[in-house]
Amino acid sequence: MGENSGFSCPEQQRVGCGLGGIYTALSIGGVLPVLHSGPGCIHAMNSVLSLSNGGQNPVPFMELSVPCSNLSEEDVVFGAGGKIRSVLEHALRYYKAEIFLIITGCSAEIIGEDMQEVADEFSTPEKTVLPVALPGFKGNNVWGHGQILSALIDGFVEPYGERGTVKGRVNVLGVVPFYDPMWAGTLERLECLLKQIGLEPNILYGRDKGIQELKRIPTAEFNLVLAPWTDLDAAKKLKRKFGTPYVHFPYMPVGPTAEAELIRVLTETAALDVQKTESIIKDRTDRYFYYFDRNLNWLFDMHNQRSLPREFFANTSASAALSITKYLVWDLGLSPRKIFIPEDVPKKHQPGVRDLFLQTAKGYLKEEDIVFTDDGGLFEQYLKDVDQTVRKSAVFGSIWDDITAKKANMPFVPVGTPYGDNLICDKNYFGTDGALCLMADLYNDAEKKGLLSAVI
Amino acid sequence: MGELRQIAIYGKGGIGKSTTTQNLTVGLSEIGKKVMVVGCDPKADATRLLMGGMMQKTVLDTIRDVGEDLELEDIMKTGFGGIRCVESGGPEPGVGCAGRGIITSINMLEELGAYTEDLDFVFYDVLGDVVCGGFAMPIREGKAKEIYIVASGEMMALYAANNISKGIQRYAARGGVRLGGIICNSRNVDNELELLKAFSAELGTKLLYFVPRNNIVQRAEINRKTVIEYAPESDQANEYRSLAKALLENRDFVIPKPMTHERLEEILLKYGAGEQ
Repeated sequence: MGENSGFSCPEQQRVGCGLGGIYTALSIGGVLPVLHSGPGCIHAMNSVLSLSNGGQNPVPFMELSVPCSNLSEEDVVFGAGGKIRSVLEHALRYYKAEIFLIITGCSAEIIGEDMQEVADEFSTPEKTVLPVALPGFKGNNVWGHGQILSALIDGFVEPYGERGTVKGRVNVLGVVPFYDPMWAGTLERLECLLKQIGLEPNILYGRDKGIQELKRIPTAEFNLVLAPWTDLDAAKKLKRKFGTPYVHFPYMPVGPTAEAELIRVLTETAALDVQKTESIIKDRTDRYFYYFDRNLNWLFDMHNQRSLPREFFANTSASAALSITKYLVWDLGLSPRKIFIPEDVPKKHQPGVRDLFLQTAKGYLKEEDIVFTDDGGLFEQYLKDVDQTVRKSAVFGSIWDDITAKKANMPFVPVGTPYGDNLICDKNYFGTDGALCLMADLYNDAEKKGLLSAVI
Repeated sequence: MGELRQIAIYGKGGIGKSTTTQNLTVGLSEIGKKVMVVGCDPKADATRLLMGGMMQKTVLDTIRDVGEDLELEDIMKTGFGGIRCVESGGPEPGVGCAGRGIITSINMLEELGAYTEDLDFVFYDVLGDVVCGGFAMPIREGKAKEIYIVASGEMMALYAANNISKGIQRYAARGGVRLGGIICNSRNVDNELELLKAFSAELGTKLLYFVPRNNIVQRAEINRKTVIEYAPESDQANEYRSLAKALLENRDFVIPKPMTHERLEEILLKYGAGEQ
């Protein structure tokens, strides 16, 4: 899958196929994907991005009740224009939504089903129907997320969006809902912070977010991309279409250093009240260190001090890896050993992403320490074949790495998809508050594994 | 009864594959051979001359109407000379996937036991170019191992024949698929026989038979008949009988050596440019 895959045989899947992009649509209230695909496709996505990803489901009941044409062999041979029309007609009648996305999976795309024709037929001024092609052979769910955003911008935001500019309004981009398992809690915390410093955040995904937020997109004073590479294309598109400038702050801040940097960048960009924002930074940083200091006794206990993890590996999305690298290097004092990014980062973005890691962990990482791959199992192989001196290193990744870390007796914290079968609720590592939670998770796992009680 | 010979007929669209195949199979049936013709073209006109008109229902029509729970009699009819006729059929132009349709049809024929032990020949009449995997289905493992390409002295017919040879070469490398020769369905172009002989030799095969052009073929077609049925005593009927004999006796099966476009142009210039 994807442009970097070559002839590799990926293990430990950490992404879904392109169809997984529908989880972005499902995070926006009033947007309903209608699938034109085989019956099993959505269940494969459901497992990676939903059920085994912190138990989060876009709907408040079992299963994922998304309309689907259930393409069979007969449909492949003869075409299934009639079938998708019937499914769409019923979806329009029975589902409460304003935007209906006809999502074509692999089979429908291979046989060239013309969904633009169907969309034009069913679209009305009240209910917009748009086709989005998400065949798995084109890319993974992160690519699919980009396709969904792009289709919504072209087919809905542009024709129906509000016009004019609202001072201080900022569209938040860069987060891939569900693929970032902590997306919901993170965005809520971010929204609070942005409001606190005097901005009017326009967040597209999550609780109470929906059509209105989509319509407001063109009115933002600027767009804020909080990721190393995801949504940069969307930000450029919005700049082309509506002339909105964008700020690329390449990670979701975790910890006092990153949070302060973000607040200062935004203060300058939006000409906010510097005194006010500096006082917010001070207050939030002070709170962080209040709790941090309360743990000093534990951290510097003789046994703990000698056995706390000092280095770390990341095996997760570029976004999650960069966020935690910033925190661990700049605030907690751990150094990165190697960063695996198994999400098939497009080649055009790889040099930029690599530079971000090199800058963030200056002096600790060499170019070859940032590994772009689509093989989630590469890290485990690396520990087995190359690097057997991993004592005192922590692992940040997905639930797959839990197994690897247990085998190697390393502390582990899940930060990426699939998060695991446990409940995630609104858990997040955002900002100063989230960093405390991350620190506790890291050291608690080390303690739980008995790594701190003995000199190792 | 000998071993079943499964034969696929390829060639440029409109070159006369179906006409040649049907006349040839009647020639084989006249000498007592048991033959089945499987039309692999969504147009479903590969058995029209044998059936005295278009098949009422193709395999895919039947699957669409009654599902996959069907009998062999629903999709296989007996035409002139006792030849068993099947049309794969396909979707309407512009929708669905005709290639997948052929895969579905041939699988269905196998499941329903159409390949009975008394058969001597199965012919697959495949549409124009091998545009996707579905149209290569008849020459995939376990099916047709013998291929004939119908061509004429026209440049595009030879270009298509050369291109089809590339597909055969690919499959030949993996299994027993071989090219049995070129059948010329003459268009009366300059120096056609020499050109076809040279082209076949360059491909590493032979010109199996040269079928001369004769308007009686068109007359028979209008009357929904093969030439052998329409005018059994005619010279053209005898040509098809001779073609059947040549095919029956053919034992020269090769892996073709497709030529470069430049080499093809050279052969055309040398033999086909009217220097007689």
